[in-house]
Amino acid sequence: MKEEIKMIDVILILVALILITVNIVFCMKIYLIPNSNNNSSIVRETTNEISVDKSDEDLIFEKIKSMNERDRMEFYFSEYATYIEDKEYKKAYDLLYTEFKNSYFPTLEKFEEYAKKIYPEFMTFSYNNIDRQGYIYILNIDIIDVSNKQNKKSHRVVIQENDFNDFVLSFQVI
Amino acid sequence: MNYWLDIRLKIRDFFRKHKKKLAIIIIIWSVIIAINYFLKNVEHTNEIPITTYEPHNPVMDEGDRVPEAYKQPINVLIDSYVNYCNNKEYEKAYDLISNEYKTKFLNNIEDFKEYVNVKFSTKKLYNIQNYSNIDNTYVYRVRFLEDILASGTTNGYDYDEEKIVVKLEGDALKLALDGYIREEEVGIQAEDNYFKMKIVKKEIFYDKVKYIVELKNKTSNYIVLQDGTELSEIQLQLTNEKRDLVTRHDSNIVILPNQTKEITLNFGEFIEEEDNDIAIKLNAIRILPKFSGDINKAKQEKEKAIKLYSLTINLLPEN
Repeated sequence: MKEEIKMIDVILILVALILITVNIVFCMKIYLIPNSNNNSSIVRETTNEISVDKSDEDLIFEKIKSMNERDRMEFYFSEYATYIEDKEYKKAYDLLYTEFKNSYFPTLEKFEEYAKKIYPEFMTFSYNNIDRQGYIYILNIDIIDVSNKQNKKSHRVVIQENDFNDFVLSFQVI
Repeated sequence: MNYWLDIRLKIRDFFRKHKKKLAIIIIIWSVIIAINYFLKNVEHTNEIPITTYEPHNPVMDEGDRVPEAYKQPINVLIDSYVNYCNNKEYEKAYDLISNEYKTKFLNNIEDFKEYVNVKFSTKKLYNIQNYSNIDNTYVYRVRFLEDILASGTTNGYDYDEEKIVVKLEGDALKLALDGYIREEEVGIQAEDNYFKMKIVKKEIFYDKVKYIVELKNKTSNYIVLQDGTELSEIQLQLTNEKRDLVTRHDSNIVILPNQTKEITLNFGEFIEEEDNDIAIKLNAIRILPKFSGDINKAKQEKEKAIKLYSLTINLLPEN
């Protein structure tokens, strides 16, 4: 009987240890891969959520986390530019800073019209220098038309990063 | 009735029989809850994207650093000040300025309003960078710029910057503008047959030092200390080098016959510099019977000088 009780205790302890391990693993997963939409303590404008598959989001998040600040800014701009190239103007529009939108592109249609006029159908970029003003970055970018490399436009892009993959941007209207 | 009694007995029996196992379960459960609580509290502490922007790390002199406990209060102080200025809440912004600075430079809130209206004519963004810290005085470069996120830098972008100095006044952190740090009494006098000079005090700023000097002309002639016709007419001797007076090109320093006047001698000198102020050198004193201020006549007037000489006023205490 005594041995039976001991056996039950051992089993119970093993089960409990397994539970603790599972608990720690899950908690550490949350700790190491935080939700990218978590608000920072500083009140800043956040972008609308972009619906991507959860696993994709985690992958993107991990990728961004490993980048230095310059690479992150370039990544954010490329995210915006990809939306333009893919003609997903609404998603690109949602990344813009509200006051900037209100001043220059009060409607999505106006932005779309501008984007079609200014950005080549297939484009590549040359990042020149990046200036930082506190937590705001100013990127000097050459937009190059892939089909005609002579067609090159330089402009400044302003990005404020609130958290990993949570940013707003505006740009020099040309 | 027997049914309920039977159940109660069974439960009691169960607890008696399995109390050891139940105790183990409760302990383990408590451990799980404790771990969850701990992880919840440490969660997300390292989430903030790392940047190279470190506003409280001194970039000019890493000797003294801003105490950890002051970083957030300094953020709040400067943020409040800029926000009040942006919102034209003059009194609230004025209250954040040190009494010493206000007494010396902004005694009247109307002057401050004028300053704010010019500097904050449009809403400004700002960012800070700690430059140097000395004697519990924390010097920050504050850059003011237009809302570049709102403009996208469409019309370009520019900024102006100011050194703001933070230090304790009583038990509250207050700020001083224009890099003003402190004032020191000097009280050194020099005198000869022609004039008397008293260096009253010294105002120390982040990037300059100003000597407030009283001059008394003892003659009925003109005493010219600076008129721009000679090189390095007035200098500050430091331990290792000399600094020329920082002044407007056309700024003459002339004491009229029998005149007593106060002047400010302004020299570039950063607080991080190791050099001591050794002396003020008046390299081209001219005692002239006539002085027109016309640079074209300066040579003829100098030829008629009663005396031409130089004078060095020692600033170090004599042993």
